[in-house]
Amino acid sequence: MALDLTQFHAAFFDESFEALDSMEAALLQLDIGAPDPELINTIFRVAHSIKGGSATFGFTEIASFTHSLETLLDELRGGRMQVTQPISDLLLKSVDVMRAMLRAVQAKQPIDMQRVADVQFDIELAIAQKGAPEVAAPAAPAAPPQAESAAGAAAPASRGPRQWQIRFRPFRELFARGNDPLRMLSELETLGRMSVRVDASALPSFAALDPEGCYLAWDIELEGDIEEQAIHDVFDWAEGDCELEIRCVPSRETPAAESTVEQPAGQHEDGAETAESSEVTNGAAASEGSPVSEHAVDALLSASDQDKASAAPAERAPPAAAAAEHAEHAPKADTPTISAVGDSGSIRVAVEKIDELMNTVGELVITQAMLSQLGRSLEGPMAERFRAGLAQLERNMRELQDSVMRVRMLPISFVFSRFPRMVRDLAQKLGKQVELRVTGEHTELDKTVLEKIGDPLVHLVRNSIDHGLEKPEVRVAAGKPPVGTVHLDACHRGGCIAVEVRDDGAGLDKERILAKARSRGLVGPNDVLTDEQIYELIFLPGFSTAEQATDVSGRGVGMDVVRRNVKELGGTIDVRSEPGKGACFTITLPLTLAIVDGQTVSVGSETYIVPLVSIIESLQVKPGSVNSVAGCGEVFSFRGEYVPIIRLYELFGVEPRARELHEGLIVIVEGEGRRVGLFVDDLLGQQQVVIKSLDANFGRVEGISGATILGDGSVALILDLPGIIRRAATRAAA
Amino acid sequence: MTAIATQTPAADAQHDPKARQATEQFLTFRLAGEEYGVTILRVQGIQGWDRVTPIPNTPDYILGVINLRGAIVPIVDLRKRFGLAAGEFGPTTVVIVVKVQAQRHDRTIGLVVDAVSDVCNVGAEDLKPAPNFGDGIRTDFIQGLATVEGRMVILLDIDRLISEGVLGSMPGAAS
Amino acid sequence: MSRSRRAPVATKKRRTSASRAQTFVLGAECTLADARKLYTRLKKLVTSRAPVRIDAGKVRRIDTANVQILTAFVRDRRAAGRPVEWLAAAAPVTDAARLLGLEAMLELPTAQEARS
Repeated sequence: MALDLTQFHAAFFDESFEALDSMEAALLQLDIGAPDPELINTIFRVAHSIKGGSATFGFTEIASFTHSLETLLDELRGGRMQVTQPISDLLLKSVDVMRAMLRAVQAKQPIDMQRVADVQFDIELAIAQKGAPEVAAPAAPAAPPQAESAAGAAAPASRGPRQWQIRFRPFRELFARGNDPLRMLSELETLGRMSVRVDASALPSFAALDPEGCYLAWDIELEGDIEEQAIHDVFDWAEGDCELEIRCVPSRETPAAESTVEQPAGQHEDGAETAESSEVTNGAAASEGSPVSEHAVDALLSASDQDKASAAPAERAPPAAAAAEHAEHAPKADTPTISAVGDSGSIRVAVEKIDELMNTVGELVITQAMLSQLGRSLEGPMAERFRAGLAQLERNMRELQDSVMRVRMLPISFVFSRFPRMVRDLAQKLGKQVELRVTGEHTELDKTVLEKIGDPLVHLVRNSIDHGLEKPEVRVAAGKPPVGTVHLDACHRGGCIAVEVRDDGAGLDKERILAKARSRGLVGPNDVLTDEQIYELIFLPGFSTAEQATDVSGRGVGMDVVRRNVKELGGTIDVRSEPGKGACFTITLPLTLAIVDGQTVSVGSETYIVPLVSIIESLQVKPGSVNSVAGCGEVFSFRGEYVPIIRLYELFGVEPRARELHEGLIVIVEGEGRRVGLFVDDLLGQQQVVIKSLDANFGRVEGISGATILGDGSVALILDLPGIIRRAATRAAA
Repeated sequence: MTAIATQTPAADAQHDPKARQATEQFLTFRLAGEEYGVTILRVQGIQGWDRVTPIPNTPDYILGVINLRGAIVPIVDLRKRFGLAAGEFGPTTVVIVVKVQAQRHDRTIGLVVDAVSDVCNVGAEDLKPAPNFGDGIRTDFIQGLATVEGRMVILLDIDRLISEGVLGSMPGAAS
Repeated sequence: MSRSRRAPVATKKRRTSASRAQTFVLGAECTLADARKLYTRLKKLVTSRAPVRIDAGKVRRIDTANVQILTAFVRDRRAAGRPVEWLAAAAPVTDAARLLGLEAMLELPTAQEARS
């Protein structure tokens, strides 16, 4: 044995699966009749590299199949065959077959050779017939898209110093989408001489400010030998979330060459034949720059509230919305681009290694906290210097921890990228026309959260298409466009991540939900419920709106499971719905599962952590301001409502220091919409704590969401307020 | 934080295949005057007794949790678990950290015992099944009784002892 | 097992509760995730009659959202005739203000003054 190749298998599988994902994404963007040559190239390269890899490792079945596929793709690439719908479908089927083969080989299972042979036969047949005969090929094969963008790409070709004027008007949600103007401006500054004028006229009073909304706008002058593309590159990720005008003012005689947000597709495609492109998907996204869609304009108009609508050039089509236009032509589902992460400057690291690193850093933090505590009690000439050193250490530790934590953060596009294919297949199956819009896919989430949010999202999207969106004829009859929209969106909101699945379908059927809930005994026959309460019913265990379990959303999984999954991640799910207009499911998730901002409180000799987000206020009550309600415990008046008091020492069976309410403190907290006052001895301080699971070695305890390790090495329990409120309620009832 | 011993001598047992087949090594400890043993292969370390963080609404034999090198580890008071008379925690009181194989995954837990005595070899032929003590006395977590140098040692099956019912969702919390 | 390994043990960022002196210390990290916190903390001070001094000397990283909050804070206080005094401003803060064109509105000291 000269060389053991098995050690490379894992990397080969990882890379192949990733490559197949990008191949699938490229296939879904492929225009029937006039395919983008660069997309075909991308697809070809994937097949080629998988063929090479599998031959190297001796996976002959995969090599043989990909060889046939490669031949077909080569025909397409050379323009000897046309991309027709059957061919496109065949290519997608090939992706599935390759994936299945790779999975089987990876799991050391036998390959389903019958399926492979069937598809391979179809491929070879197609090659033999030089394309499926049923669709006549349009005259111009693979027309380069330059033509249509000729008007847009009017940047002067001459070199030399130029003066650029950039008008940058971010939308309110720019920050939430992970864009920071500061970063863009500092990048711009590297290009040439820059002067910046800020427009803060939209900045509201401090009290009215949304701390995460962007109110500022900028006019930037930039001078130097700068290509327009370089400026566009700076704003690349923000282009859907702002208004941008880039104007060149070299001299008076050139009529101000105005360009728009959307790059002319040609610029990206230049030299594509040879470029080993790592920005396949990004480039592909830009190449959708066809004439504007109604959606795109609508989005722009509605989003830029303070700006004159007329200022928006009509050619503008943000990448995410660009595909909308496409949908009007394609009869089936359409697929926006979701840029897979294709950074070349990255390495692949096993998650265990990162976790190990995190653990070690965690240990270091504790050691550091211990040292700090020691340092405080030191005296003598060296003490001050020692403490200064410790402070420095603490800062460095914090940075180290943040950096390690950030390694675990991944863009949600990893999850979103599976949807175009799913939506397309589902729409086909159900005979519906669906356009999938995706925004905010660069929003980053902790890897663990990311892994577990996929299934709930799949369920919601399925649900939207199956139950939410109507059939085309029904939609038309209702005066809606035949193509329904499902919109996936992710953004930062109040220190959390909000992921939304919105559709413009019929909305939830109140009557049917209520009837079903009544028939199941979930609601009494005479109970009167608000709309919100009715919508909430769908999250109850055992509730399913489908009249009968369908192939699509059946599977015995209901919304209750979705909610449970989301809850396990420390998140919440809500639904809003408007009859005839659509429904919107919002999942709110913590940024990371690993850290929580907490208030430490003491009860007797114990220390507990109360998540800061749940705390409304801490206060001391005066003797006599508390009433007892017969048999139900104590309440006191807080902001006009009676709030029940939970004595934590009673609930947890701890010997307290304070038994009289006025001797301790009341922490008003909120959980699942209910407010209670927790009675504790004292507040100790606020700190960020790293959550450790109790579950790993012990089990779940109601009222406790986890534990953390304090600076002195001792363990403190983290309170789960909904659990505590429930517990207290059952105690009161008992 | 007074670690007395953390190295398991398991490696020795594995060097001698014959020994591994015929005899098993047990860590023995004292509890209310009786001597018990657990297989050394499961012992992860021995720690001095230190303060624990109590967990509300758990059975009394769950004393709480400690921080064991960054992991949250529950501590079981074996006296209480066996219904023996409660004893004062003294200088010899130690926590034996063991690995328990549970249905879903392995867990690490600490057992509070009066004192650690010895590591002894028990041959298969020295192992006697636990006698039937009659109704009401559980013996299912006793792997067997062994005689070591004239003393009787009760060998525990810790997987049974710390089954899912003992940890996990607590009776108080489950309902 | 993996669950327990995922989360490292640790306490992080020890913050002392707001002192009575109206000196406001900005943390090292002022990113979007910290913006709401900053806003909530400043909100208590925006109408305070006592003079407010901001110590931005420890800031390692700051983003536009946080600068924007500070801008609104400084502007509103000045409008009420209660200017804000900067005790220190670390380089990331002054750089950000310059790049964003907000130096004047923030009334930041020049770089020399700021280095204490």
